Parts: sequence; structure tokens; C-alpha cells
Amino acid sequence: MTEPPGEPARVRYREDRLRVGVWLPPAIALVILIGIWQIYAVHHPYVAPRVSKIASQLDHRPGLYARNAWTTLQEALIGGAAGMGVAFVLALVMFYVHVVERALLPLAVVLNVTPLIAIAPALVVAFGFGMTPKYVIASLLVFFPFLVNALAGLRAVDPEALDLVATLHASRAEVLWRLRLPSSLPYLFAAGRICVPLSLVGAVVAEFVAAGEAKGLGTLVVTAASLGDLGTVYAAVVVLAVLGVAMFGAVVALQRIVLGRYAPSTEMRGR
Amino acid sequence: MPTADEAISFDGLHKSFGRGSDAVKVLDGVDLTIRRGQFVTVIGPSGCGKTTLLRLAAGLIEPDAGSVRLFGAPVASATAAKRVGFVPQAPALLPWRSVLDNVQLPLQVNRRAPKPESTPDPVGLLNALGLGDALKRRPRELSGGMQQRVAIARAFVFDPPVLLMDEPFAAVDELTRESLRHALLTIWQASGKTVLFVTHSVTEAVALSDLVVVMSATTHGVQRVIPIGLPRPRDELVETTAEFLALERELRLELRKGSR
Repeated sequence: MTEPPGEPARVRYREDRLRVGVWLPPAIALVILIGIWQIYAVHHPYVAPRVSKIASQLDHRPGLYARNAWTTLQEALIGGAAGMGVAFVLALVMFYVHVVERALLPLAVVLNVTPLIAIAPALVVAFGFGMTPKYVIASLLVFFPFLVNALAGLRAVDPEALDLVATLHASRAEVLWRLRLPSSLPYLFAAGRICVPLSLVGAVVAEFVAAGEAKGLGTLVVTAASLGDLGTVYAAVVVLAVLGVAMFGAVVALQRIVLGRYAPSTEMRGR
Repeated sequence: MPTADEAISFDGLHKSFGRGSDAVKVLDGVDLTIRRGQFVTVIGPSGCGKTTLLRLAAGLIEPDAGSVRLFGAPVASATAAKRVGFVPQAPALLPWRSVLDNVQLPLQVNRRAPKPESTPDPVGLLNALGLGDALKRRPRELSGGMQQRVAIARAFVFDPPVLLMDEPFAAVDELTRESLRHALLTIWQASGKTVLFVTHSVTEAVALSDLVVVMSATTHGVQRVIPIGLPRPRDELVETTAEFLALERELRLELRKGSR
């Protein structure tokens, strides 16, 4: 009476086997890159500090980098979360009220194509040298990619599932809660993988422009560069890279936990 | 005038898709009445409007002219009261829900609708459909046939008096299709529901139905209604009888007449 089930075990096995193949090539590439850097730094000490010098910077002043990293992280997380939150709410409004989408989406595109670095000084004038312009710039940078993905996600519902709940006379709120939001989660996580590290870029850009409070890794980079202290510059860049990778990794880990059960059914994949 | 015995009635139904000179006529004056408790299959060549007829009965589209009534009332009031079970062509299972949670979906939406006196136990329903071991599994872990069984259980779980099924077995292989057919027959025979079932399969139509409605792609209407007088309850052995084979032959000949 029953038919043979699908074959999830085989798929899982293939994923396990690929895991080493996933991390080993970039690890080798990183080691080669560090080697090339070191060779270049030996011959051009005024352009690129040696790896050992960057490492000793981090080793001797861990508190300095940790304090500034915490400031930048806060700006990125708060600004990024605000930008993504506003984008999601606006996506909901745009989805249900088409005239709002027609009115605001072109403006969002204009905002997206305008180089943020050009707006940043104006934002500093408007919001001062405190944390606010940093939050605003980080949120502006993540706003558009999150908005577009959230809109796509809200629309990415299996049409036959929509038919089914229509015959049950499900309310709009029920359709949103039971179908649209869960269906949009893969899109929201895809956006998160882009936006969370991007919020870090926004925070650093803001610190470059509004370095008034002398806090944050971006501020540290600008200050150290003006003094010709390349060791500090590159040590801050390394910390930023680690922060970015950690933020990206956190999103991917959360995505694995939440979306582990989301793989589409074979029927849906075929359509 | 509708009678108390009528479950679904289509009166003077017209439906076209597109506008102006691009409009494609799909239904052109369909009149059909389905009595309570009947299993009625709609069959016909592609483009004859069988799925459109079903979607009109489900309230998913509106007719250009004519009316559809379920138990003498407009479709919208029947769906608002959760009196219509729908099984789409693909199982349309939610990939983030387990089998049991998928089956319970109809119980979780539109809770304001009046509740029937008793509804089937979802676990018992899944057991009856041979899915007792798969309650906690996700749809992706099931074969196409098992997924379709879940979709059938989901349509029965809130005990609607009418079931609308749109080629539910179209995407599975012949053997699975046969097993699904018998599973549906068993569960339906115990339920007394009115079923409107769309299919391309002649065997399926004869094996399941009380009436087979043959639709024409040339007239866009009902070409002939063939009563299937095979005794009930039926099982798979009915498909080997001479009467069954004769009905299959009659239906095939009728279908050839209605093809473009």
C-alpha cells in the first residue's frame, strides 16, 4: 500500500563528504595569500607591514582593538537591524497596498544607486558626530537589498497552497502567518547573508566621515593612516574582516537551524 | 429550484479567459446537478474546461454568466462555513510542517466557521491511509504517492460534505496511482461525501464514480453523462469484471467523439 520514501540519507551523506571540500580550498587560498603578502612586505616595508608586525599589534594592544570593534559592531548591528526591520515592514505595506509599491519602489531604487559616501557628510551635519549618523548610514546600506528580497519572499508562495487556503476561507492575516511569512524565510535569510556584513561596511564608512568621537575601527583606520602607522591600519582591517566573517557565519548558522526543515518537496521542485 | 438532494449545481455556466478578440471560451452553457453523496468524475480532452469547472465550484474563479451553488447556497458561503475540501493537482504540502501538522492545517485556519459535530482523528486518518509511520516526517522525505495521501487526509480531516479533487493522481506512476485510487475509494465509501473529481484516466473514472461527466472541447459543455452502475462497495477486483471493461470501452468511444 505504501510507496518507497524519498532518499534524504543519501543527500545528507553527499553533504558530509563535501564539507572538507568546502572549507579546504579557501583555507589553502588564504595561506597562499598570506605568503604572497609576506614576500611583498619584505620588499616594500613602507607600503605593506609584515604579517608578524600586524600580529604583534593585535597581541600588544588587544584592548584597543576590542573596544573599537565593539563600537563598530554595535553600530552595524543596531543600524543593520533597524534598516532590515523598516525594509520588512515597508515590504509588507508594499505587498498589500500596490499603490505604495508603485510610489516608493522607484525612490528606493534611487536611494540604492546613489553612492552613500556622497550622502554621509550631509547625514553627519543632520545628526551630529555621535552614534546616530552611523546607525542611519548602516541602515540605509542594508535597506534596499532587504526590501527587494522581502517583497520577493512574500510573493514566493506555492500557488496551489494559496488555492487550498482560499477554499478554507482563510483570512488575510492567516495567509500571512501560515503561508507567506514561512515561505519568505529563505528569501529573508538570503537577504540577511548580504545585509548583515553590509551593515559593517556602512558603520565603517560612517566612521570614516564622522570620526568625531574617535571610536570604532573605521576611526582607528583613518587616524592611524594619517600618522603613517600601517601596522595599526592593517590590524584594524584584520579585525574588521574577522567581524564580517563572524557576522556572516552567525547568519548562516541561524539559517541552518531555522531552514533545516525547509528543503522543498520533490513535487514542488519539479514545478 | 434547488432540491434538498442537490449538493452541487451548475446553471447556465459560461466562462472565458482573456478579453476581446483574444478571449478563449472555456465553458459555454454548462448545466449539471450533482446529488448528495455522489462520486462524480469529470473527464474530457485537454482544454475542455474540466479544471475550470472545478475551480468555479471551489470559488477560486467567478463565472462570466450563470451560477454555481453548493447545497443551494452561493459558493462563498459554503467555503466560509468550511464545507468544501480541496485536493489540488500537486499535494501543496508546506515543507516546514510535518505530515501531521500539514494534515491539521485546515483545522487551524478560519476557526470562526461552524464546527461539525465530530471530525475524524488526524492520526487515525493517516493510519488508514498507510502513513502511520510518517507522522513526524517532512514532506521532502516522502515519495510523490505518500505526499498525495497526506493531501487526501488533509481534505478529509475537517469533515467537509463536499470534496473537489483536481487530477490529484496525475503526477504519480501507474502502480502508485492504482494504490491511491483504492485508498481513496476505501476512505470515501465510509464517509458519504459528495465528490467532484477531475481526471484524464478512463480507468480511474469508471472505478471511482457513480456518474462520469464527459466534456467536449468543441462545444465547451457537457457532452454526455454516463451512469456507472457497478455495485458498491467496490474494490480492485471490480476492475477485472466484464461490466467494468465494457464501461471503459463506452467511455473511450465517447471521449473520441468529443476530441477536437
